Amino acid sequence: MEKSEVNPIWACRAFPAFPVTLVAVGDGNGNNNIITVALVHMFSFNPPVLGIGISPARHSYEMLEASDDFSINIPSKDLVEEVLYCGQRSGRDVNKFEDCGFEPKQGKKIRSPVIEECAVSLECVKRQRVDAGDHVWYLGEVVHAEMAKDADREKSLMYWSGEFRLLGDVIRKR
Amino acid sequence: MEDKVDLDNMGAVMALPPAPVVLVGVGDKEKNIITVGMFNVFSVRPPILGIAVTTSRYSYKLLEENDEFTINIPGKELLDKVLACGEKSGADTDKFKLTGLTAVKGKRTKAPRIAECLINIELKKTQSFEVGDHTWYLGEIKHTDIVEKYDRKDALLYWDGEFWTAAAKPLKVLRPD
Repeated sequence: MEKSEVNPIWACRAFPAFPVTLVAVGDGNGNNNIITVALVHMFSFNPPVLGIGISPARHSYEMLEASDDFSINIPSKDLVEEVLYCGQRSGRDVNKFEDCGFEPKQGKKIRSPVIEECAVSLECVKRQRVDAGDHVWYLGEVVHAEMAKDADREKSLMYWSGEFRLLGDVIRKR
Repeated sequence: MEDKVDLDNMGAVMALPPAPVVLVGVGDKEKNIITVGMFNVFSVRPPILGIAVTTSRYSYKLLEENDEFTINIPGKELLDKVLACGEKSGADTDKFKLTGLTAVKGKRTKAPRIAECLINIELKKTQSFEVGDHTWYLGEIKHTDIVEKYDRKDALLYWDGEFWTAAAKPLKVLRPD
C-alpha cells in the first residue's frame, strides 16, 4: 500500500471519530459547569472505569481538580449546537446550563450534577489522575448510571478534527 | 428527558457510542498483532497515544518487554483479520501467518508495522499504568505513514460487539483548530 510520511499531528487528525460527551462537574453549592469532551474512553471493565482528558488551561480543570467526582453524559445528535457551545465557551464567562436550557439534576451518588437532557448519564468517582503531555486525565469509577428507555446508538454524536459526524453503517454485529 | 431507568453500571457503559479499533504491532524477533478497542489520543502536543490490554493477554508480555509499538488503522475491508487478531492468542498462533498481514520494520522504531493498514504510527513508550483489569501503555509518536487517498469513513469503529463506520459526510464542520 502506497503511503507517505506525514506530521504526527496530521496523522492524529486522521482517526475516524470519537464519541463526544458532555462532562458535568459541580461543587454541590450550585456552581456547576459543563465541558464538551471528545477525549473520553473506557479504561477498565471490571470495575467499570471511564477516563476524560482535560487541558489544564480550561476552567473545568480547576473544578475537576477540586471535585471528587464528575458525570459523563451522552448527548444525541439533536444536541449538536449545545455540544458545540459547551466546547467553545468557558464556564468562567457563561453559565452553560442556563444558556443551553439544560437542567442540572443532582447526581444520585455523586455531588456533581447530571444533565437531564442527555440520553445516558454515568456518575463517576475520581480514582486516578494521569499527566500525559498537554492533557490531564481523570479516571473515574462508574458508581451509578441512568439511561433513557429509547436511547439509541444510531443517534450518537461523534467528533474529531473539526467535524461532527453520525455513525454510518453497521459492518458486523456479534 | 423522561423515562430514564436505573441501569447496572456496565449496561450504561456499553451504551457508549463506538470508538476507533486499531491493530497494534509489537515485538522484534518475536512479533505479534493485537486488536485493540481500548485506544485513545492522550495528548496532542506532544502527540501521545495510548492503548490498553488485559494483563492475561500474550501481548501484555511483549508490551512489557519492548519499548516500542505501532498503532495501525485498518480499513473496513480488513474486518475479518481484525476479528481474527482479536480472537486468537499470539501465545499459540503466529497472527501474521494466520491473517496474511505483512510485517514491515518500522522506519524509526523496531516494532513491526502492518503494511495493509491505512495508517501506520510508530511509538515509543512514555509511561504505563494499571487501571482495574487493564494495563495502559502510552507512547509518543516517532513516525507516521498514511495512504494518500485516506478517507476517515473507511476506518472501523467498534463497541459492544458491533463494528461500524463513521458516516460518509460530516453533520457539521468547524474551522480546523
